[in-house]
Amino acid sequence: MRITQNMMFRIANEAIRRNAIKLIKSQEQISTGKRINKPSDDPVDTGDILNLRTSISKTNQFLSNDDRAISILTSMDSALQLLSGLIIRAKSLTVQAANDAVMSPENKIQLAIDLTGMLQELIDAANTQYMDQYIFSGNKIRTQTLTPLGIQTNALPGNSGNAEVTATDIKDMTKYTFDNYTITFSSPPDPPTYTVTNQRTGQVVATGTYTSGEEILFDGFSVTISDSVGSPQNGDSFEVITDNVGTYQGDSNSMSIEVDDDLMVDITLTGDRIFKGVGGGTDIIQSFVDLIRALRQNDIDGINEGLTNLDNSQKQILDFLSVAGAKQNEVNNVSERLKDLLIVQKSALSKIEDADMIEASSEFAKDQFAFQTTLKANAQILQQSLLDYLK
Amino acid sequence: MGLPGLSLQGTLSVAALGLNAQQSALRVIGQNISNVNTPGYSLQTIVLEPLGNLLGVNAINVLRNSDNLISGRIYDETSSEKFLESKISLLSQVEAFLNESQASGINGALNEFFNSLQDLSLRPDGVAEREGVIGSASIFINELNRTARAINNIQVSADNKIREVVTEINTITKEIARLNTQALSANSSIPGGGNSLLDQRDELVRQLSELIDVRVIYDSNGSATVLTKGSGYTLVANNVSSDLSVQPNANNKNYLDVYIGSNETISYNITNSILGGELGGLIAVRDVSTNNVIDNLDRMTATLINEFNKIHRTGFGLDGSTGLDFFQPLTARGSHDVNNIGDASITASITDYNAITYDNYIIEFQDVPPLTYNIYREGDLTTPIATGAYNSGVPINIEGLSITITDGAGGPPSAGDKFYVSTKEGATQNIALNPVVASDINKIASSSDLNQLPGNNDIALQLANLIDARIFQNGSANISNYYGAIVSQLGTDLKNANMTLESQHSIVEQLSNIREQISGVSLDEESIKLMAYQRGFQALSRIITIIDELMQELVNIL
Repeated sequence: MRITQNMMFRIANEAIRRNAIKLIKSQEQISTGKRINKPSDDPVDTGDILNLRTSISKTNQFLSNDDRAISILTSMDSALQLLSGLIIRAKSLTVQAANDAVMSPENKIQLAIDLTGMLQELIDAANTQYMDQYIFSGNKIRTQTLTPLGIQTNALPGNSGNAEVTATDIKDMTKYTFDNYTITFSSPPDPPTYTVTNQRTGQVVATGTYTSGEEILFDGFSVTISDSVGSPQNGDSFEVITDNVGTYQGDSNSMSIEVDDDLMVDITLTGDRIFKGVGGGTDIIQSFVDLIRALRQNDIDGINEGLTNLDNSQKQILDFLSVAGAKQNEVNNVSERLKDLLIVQKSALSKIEDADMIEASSEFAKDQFAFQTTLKANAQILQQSLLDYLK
Repeated sequence: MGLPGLSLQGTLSVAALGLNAQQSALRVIGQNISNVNTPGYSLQTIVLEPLGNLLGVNAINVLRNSDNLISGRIYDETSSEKFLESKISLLSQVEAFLNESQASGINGALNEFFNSLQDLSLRPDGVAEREGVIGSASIFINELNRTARAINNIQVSADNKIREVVTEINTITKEIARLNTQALSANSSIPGGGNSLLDQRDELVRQLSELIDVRVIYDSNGSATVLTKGSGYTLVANNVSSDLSVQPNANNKNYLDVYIGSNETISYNITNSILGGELGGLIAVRDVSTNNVIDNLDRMTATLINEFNKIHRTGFGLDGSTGLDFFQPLTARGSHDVNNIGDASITASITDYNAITYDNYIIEFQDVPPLTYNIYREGDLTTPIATGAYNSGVPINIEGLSITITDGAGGPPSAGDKFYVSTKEGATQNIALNPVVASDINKIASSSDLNQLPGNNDIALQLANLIDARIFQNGSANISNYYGAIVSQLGTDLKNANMTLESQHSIVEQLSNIREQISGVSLDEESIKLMAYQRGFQALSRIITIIDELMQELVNIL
C-alpha cells in the first residue's frame, strides 16, 4: 500500500476536525449550561421540553388564579365576619328591649336609632368590593349589591303632571321612621297648600304652602317639589317611600374560577341568598327594618319576632361563613399542591435541559486533552520526510 | 561467427539516448514533485523501453496513474456529501426560527396568550385584562407571521442559489467539453501529452459532482461523457456540452424549475430527478422540507383560528356584541394548475366552518364521458372522495366548502386538468386579529349570556381551555403537542442528516485515500527515484567521458 504525503495530511486533518467538533460541542454545553441548544441536539427531548414549558406556564397561571380566588374569598370572609359581629351586637341589645320592664319607650327609640346605624353598616358590608368588583352581586359585578338607605318618590297616577319631585334628603338620621308618606296638594288656595300624611298612622305630620323648589320637611326627611309645566293641581299626590332599602340589584348567577386543570371553583356567594333570604332563608334586611319599626312603636310582639329573626340571621351568616371557609380551604389546598407540582415540573425540565456541569466540565477537559494530543502527534508525524536525510 | 563490431560511435549514441531517457525521467519526477499539492493531480510514471538489441533506451510513454472506477465512486459519494451539506445548512436556518430551546418563540407566545385568557376569566370586564388579551394575541400572531416569512425567505434564497449553481454548472460543463478535445489532441501528438489536461478535466468533473449528481462514462481514448444521474440526460458528450436552464414554475410559487437541453429543440424538466450535489440539496429543501414545515404550521394555525372563532362567535362582549370573529376568519383558496389545457377557472368559499377539515383538495377531470370531476384529499391521490359530472358554474359542496368551476372564454376543462383548493394555505403568514375586535376591547367576548354581563366568564374560560383541547391528529393531540411534534420532526431530520453526513464524509475520505494510493505523489518515493536516475545520469556521463577518451586514443593512433 502506497502512502503519500497527501494521505498523511488528509488523515491528520480528519483527526483534528473530528476532535475539534467534539471539543466545540462540550464547549457549547459549558458556555450555555444547557445540554440541548437546538432541537437537533436531541429531538425527542426537545418535544418533552416544550410540553414541560407549557405545563409550567399553566401551573403558574393557575397559582395566579388561585391567589385571586383566595383574595376574593378572604374579602367575603371579612365582610361576613363584620356582619356576624353586627348581628350579635344587635341581638344582645334587643334582648334587653324585649324585656319591657327594663327598657323604656324612649330607650327603645334610642335602640331603634342605633339599629338604623347598624343597618347602614350592614348594607355597606354587603356592598363590599374587591378591586372594584362587587363580590356579592353574582354576575353583575359592577352593580351595587344592596340599595342604601334613602327616599324614593312616586307621582301617583291621576296626577296632572305639572310638578315633579326634584330632590330628596335625609335631614336627621335619628328620626328615620321607615314609614311611608303621601304628600297631597290642595288648590284653591293659590299657591296650593300641601299635606303630608303618614300612611301607617294616618296622621298628618306636616302642612304648608307650596313654593316651587322649596324643601318640604317632615319627620327628619326633606322632599323638594318643583314646577315643571306649572304648579301642582288640586288632588295631586306624591308617595314618599322610606322602607324600600337594601334591595338586591345583582343576579343569582355564579362565577367560576379555574383553580387547576379542568377544576372549577364557584366563588360566588350571591347577596340575594345571604342578605335577602332568597331560597328559603331569612331576609336579614327586612328583619332589621321591621325590628326598628317595632322598637319605635313599642310593639313587644314585633320586638320578639325581631329577636327570632336576628337569631336566624346569625345562623344564616355563620352558614355562609363556613361555605366561604370551605371554598377557601379547597383553593388553598389546590394552591399548595400546585406549588409542589411546580417544583417537580421545574426540576424535571432542568434534568432534561440542563447540562450536568461536573460531567460537562470533565468531558470538556477530556476533549481538550484529546485535541491537544492529536495536534501533537500529527505534528510530529507530518514533519518526517526523507528529504531531511538526503544530503 | 562472433558479434559484428560495435563502433564507439554506436556506443556514444547509446549513451546519448540513455542520457535523454534519464533526463526525461528526471523531468517526469520534477513534474510529480512540483504537483505534489495540486488538487486532482495524478502521479505520472515514465515508461522506458530498450530500443532494439544493443541500440539503447527510449522513453515511449508517460503513464497517468489513475483509476476511473475509483474516480466514479468518488463522484457519487461527493454528490451525496454535498447534497447533505447543502440540506443541513438550509434546514439549520429553519431550525433557528423554531429554536424553542430559548423560552420565547411560538410556544412561549402561545402559553402567554392562553394565560391572558385565564386572567380575563378572573376579571372579565377589566381593562388591563382585555388589553392583555389583545397584546399577547398580537405577540403570538407576530411570532407566527415572522416564522412563516423567514421560512419563505429561506426558500427564496435557495431559489436564488439554484440559479447561481446552474450558471456554475454550465461553465464547468463547457470547460469539460473543451478539455476533452484538447486532451485528445495533445495525447495524439505526444504520448502522455494530455495527462495534465485529463487531470484538470477529472478535477472539473469532481467539482461538477459537488453541484449535481452525475454518471461518467469513459471511452477508450479517455474522453468523458457526463450524464445526469437521475434522469440520464447528457451534460457533456466529448466536445459538446448541454446547458441547464431555469424557468419559473407557476405551480410552485414561481420558483425555478431546472431544464436541460435548452440549446436543442426540446428541453426536459429534470427538477425532480436531481438527487445529489448542492443543487439537489437546494431543490429538496426548497420544495419538500420547508414546505412540510410550513404545511404543518399552516394546519396548526388554521385549526386554532377556526376553533377559537367558533367559540368567540357564541360569546358576548361587554357592549353586548356577539357573533364576532376574534381572528380574521379562514378563507378558501382555489387555484388552477398552470399546465391545464382547458380554460376553466375556479372559485371556492367556506360555507360551514364546523365542517371543514383543513385538508387540501385536488380536483382532476376525466373524460369518461361525460366530463367528470374527481376530488382527492391530499395524501391519497388514488381514491377520490367525491366525483360527479361537470356542470359549468354549478357549485360543488363538500366538507364545508362550496367549489365552483366555470368554463373560460376558451371553453370547459380538458381531461387531465387539475384544480386545487385549500383552507389552510398561508394561514401562518396571514393570521391577524379581526380589526373590529382589536380596535375596541369591549368587543372581546367573555360571557356566554347577554344578561349575565359582566361577571359571566364562561366564554373566557372556554377560550382559555382551547390550549388543552385535543383538536389535532384525530383527537389525540392538543396544539402544544402538535407544535412540539413539528419542532421535534425538524430536529430529527437535521440530526439524522448530520449523522449521515458524518459517515458520508468518512466514505469520501476513504475513497480519496484509495485514490491517493493510486494517483498520489509520495515525496519519499520520488526522492529515491531521483537518486536512481541521478546515478544513472552520472554513470552515463561517465561512459561518454570514457568513450571520448577512447576516441581520442583512436585519433592519436592515426
